[in-house]
Amino acid sequence: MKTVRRVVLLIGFAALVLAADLFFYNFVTARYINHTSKAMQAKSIELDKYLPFTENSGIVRAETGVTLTGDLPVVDGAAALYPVYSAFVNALYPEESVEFDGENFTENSAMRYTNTRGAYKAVADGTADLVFCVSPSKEQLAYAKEQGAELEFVPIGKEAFVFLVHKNNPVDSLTCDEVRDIYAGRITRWSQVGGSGGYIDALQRNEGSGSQSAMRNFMGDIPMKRTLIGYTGRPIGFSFRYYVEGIVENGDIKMLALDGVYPNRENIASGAYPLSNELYAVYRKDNQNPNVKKMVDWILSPEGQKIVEESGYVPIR
Amino acid sequence: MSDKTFYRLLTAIAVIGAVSLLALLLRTAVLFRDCSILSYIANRG
Repeated sequence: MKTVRRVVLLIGFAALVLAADLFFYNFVTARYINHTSKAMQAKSIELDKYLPFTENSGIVRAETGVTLTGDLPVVDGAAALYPVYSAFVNALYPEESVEFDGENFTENSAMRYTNTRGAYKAVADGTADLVFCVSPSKEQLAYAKEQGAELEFVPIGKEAFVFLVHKNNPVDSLTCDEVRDIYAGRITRWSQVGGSGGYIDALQRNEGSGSQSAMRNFMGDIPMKRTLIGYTGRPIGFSFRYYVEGIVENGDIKMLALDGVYPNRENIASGAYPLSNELYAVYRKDNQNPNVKKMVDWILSPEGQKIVEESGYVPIR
Repeated sequence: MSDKTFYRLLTAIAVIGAVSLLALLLRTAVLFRDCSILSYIANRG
């Protein structure tokens, strides 16, 4: 009888250990599994999918009579803008000016990709001539000032800043005030905004990323909170429309309408969608390379703006 | 079942449990570092 009791105890203990592991896996580990490729995880975007001068590249190709020669501007930028500045390079640069080693661009390449944080640092340091990004964070502006760099921001297109939930979340629309209240911690449950699923997990991105800076601009002086209890509920996050729709294309997430307006290209162009951000070409005002201004002027020309539009963004002109 | 066998089995299960949980913790830390906001939302439902 004692042996039977001990065997039952051992089986029960083993079941308890297994249940603890399964609970931890399902409740914690599983939510961090990244379904994008290894390259995408590391870089936010698969660089080789949008390389210039490559036959199967996803970039837009344009015929132009303009070709840059001489001192070529070193260009860099954000993940969400990589396909469009790659298309600019494809249209204007000689092929030999771009060097890609299969993983990233080399130091000798006139085209680089270090994402928003790296690009703003590079243009301030003078290691890049022209970068393509959304608005910088206060810290990025302060860093540029420390380096004695006065930056010129030239709007080249528009893009929607969007809020995202899982496709099964019944909420399709929020007001701007509701989103601010969610991120301020004043609204904590989905039922308070017409949904279900318990608490709201208000996700943020790393500081200095383009979307985190856009979110801070949206919140103004209101501090953002992520509550521990929110971890038990359904999440809400944010990004830029083209990054979600055109680059990642994850079918399990959906963009929310804001103040009743869905973030499609028509609503961004008309200004009906309340959170349209400008996309900038950024350079140091003291940059002496004449090709920088020439390239920016071409981007603002009908040829350049056509590339912006056909790449999936909303042109500025 | 002798006391010795019982306690050995009990210890073995506890050790396996602790090691597997530690492995899960490490795996989660690696995944956390690389996970995008979009994947996180897609996983949570």
